[in-house]
Amino acid sequence: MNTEESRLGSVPAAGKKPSSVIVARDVWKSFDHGQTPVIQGVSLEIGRAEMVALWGSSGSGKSTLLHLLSGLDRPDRGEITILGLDPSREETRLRLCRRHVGFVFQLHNLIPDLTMLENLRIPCFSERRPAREIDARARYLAEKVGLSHRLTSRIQNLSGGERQRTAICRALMNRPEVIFADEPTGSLDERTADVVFNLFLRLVSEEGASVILATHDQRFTKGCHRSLHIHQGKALPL
Amino acid sequence: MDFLKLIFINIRRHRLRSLITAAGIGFGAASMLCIVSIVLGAVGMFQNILSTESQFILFERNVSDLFFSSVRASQLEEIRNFPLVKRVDPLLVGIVSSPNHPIITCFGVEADNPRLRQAHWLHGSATAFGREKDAIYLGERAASFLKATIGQEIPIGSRRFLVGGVLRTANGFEDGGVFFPLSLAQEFFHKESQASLATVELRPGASFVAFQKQIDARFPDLIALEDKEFNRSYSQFRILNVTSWAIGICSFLLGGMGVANTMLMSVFARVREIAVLRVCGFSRQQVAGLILGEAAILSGLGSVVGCVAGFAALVAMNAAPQLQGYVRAALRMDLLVGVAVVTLATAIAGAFYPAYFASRIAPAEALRFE
Repeated sequence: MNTEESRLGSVPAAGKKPSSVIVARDVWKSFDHGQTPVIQGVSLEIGRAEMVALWGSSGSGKSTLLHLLSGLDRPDRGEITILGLDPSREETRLRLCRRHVGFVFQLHNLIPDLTMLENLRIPCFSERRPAREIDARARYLAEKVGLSHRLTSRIQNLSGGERQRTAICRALMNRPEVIFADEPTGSLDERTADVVFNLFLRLVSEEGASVILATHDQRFTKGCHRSLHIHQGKALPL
Repeated sequence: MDFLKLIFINIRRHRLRSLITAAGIGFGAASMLCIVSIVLGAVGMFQNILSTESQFILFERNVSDLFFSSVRASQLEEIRNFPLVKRVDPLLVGIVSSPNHPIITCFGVEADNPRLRQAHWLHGSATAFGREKDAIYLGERAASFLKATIGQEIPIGSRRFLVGGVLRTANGFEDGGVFFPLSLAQEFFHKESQASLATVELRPGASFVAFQKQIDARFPDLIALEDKEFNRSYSQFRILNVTSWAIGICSFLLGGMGVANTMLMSVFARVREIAVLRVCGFSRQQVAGLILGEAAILSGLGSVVGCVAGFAALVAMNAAPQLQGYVRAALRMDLLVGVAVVTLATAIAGAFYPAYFASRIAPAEALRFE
């Protein structure tokens, strides 16, 4: 393990080959009524507790692929399943978002007028879980990321790194089986980004979740089990 | 996580915009309350004029307005002799003008008309009514705006009349009008031996239906309606009521457009936030509920503010001597409920498209643009 790898950390080996949580077969996507092809015939499988990086330059289509794999967007052609379910149906997508998948974005996308705790409660809004249980989970995650003292602070009073750590906690609130992370440290300076990314890796591996990470920074791909280079709409092994 | 809190966030986030929207709705509610109250007050006063101590109003069948109704003296005389009838009070209604006052309502009544007895006579007395030649009797407000007092000669229409007395009634129309002895009114309005209508009081225990049947049989050109029946069916009252609600609703439409604009701005300003809520498992209905809830809260706020402001305006109008008796500054539950329902309906209608728009936001599309 080189110095950079050590600084960024890495997840334990996946062990025996996990069963697939995401399966994509011959997925195509274009914009501008077919004028701008973005994803061209991508097929991949992502196993349980596996961490896969989608690496590519800006505009390569990695975010689009992430949106397609997560069910936030629909492919023009091809087939995608998450945990064996078809996310193109609204009810299924809702079910997946509420119970099985979590999202971390480049911008934290938290609600600034709410406190950290209130933001963490949002993914649990539609699930009928006891408030005590939800708050205990929020406290546990906040402690894990070193923000238990900030739970009652409004988001606008948190630093950039604290906000991103809060966003990671929010993604993990429902103990998801899959985390989709789109440049999760892209808005942070290099040092803070390293710290937050390490934290992210440690937490998701502890939670046993699969991760699909879209990043343009090749350093972060080293922390994943597998990396795919997204280039000209295709996903190539790195 | 409290759904209401999520709704309130946006109201609190854009306080000034929310306040202006609520004020717009409040203005609509206040306008509606005032317009409808004034019209109801006016209709109520007119009803009082017609129904003093009586149970029936008798007038010419199929006339659009009581000003055009004609009941002959001979018919009234015959009706007075019906065994069921206790008393009949003819009323001739006319409108004239005097210098600087284009509309003065005139009431031609007989000397024993109950409304004269019930009035508070500021000058002169009910017993002297009609005894002096060419004397007319002014309502208090009419005496005030005509600057006339007892014993003075004043121009009414093309003639001059002597003021025989000044009386105060609880009715704004009467207070702003002029009472003529019936015969003088008939001569002045060229309606000899005629009245516009008559109010009829039946003997105790007399059958209302039997009286109506008797009128229908004997005088097919006349119609006798019970007071309540008349109030419901008289087309002028209906037109006034419908007009007042229509004007009120028009002012609400402006408020509704304000709500639509505000809510659309609100949705545009939080597209990413809505997208994230969708990603966190909010359904389309829940997102639409946030927008509709925000509109409902703004309309509730506007409704309360509007009702308070409208009522304050009514009380102020009620206190103004010029409008004495014209305005009903009473909070009627049906009117308040009506205003609240129209306010809420307007706000929901105004927020419908923004809510639909918000519910259709595609998370991937919204999140693509950082």
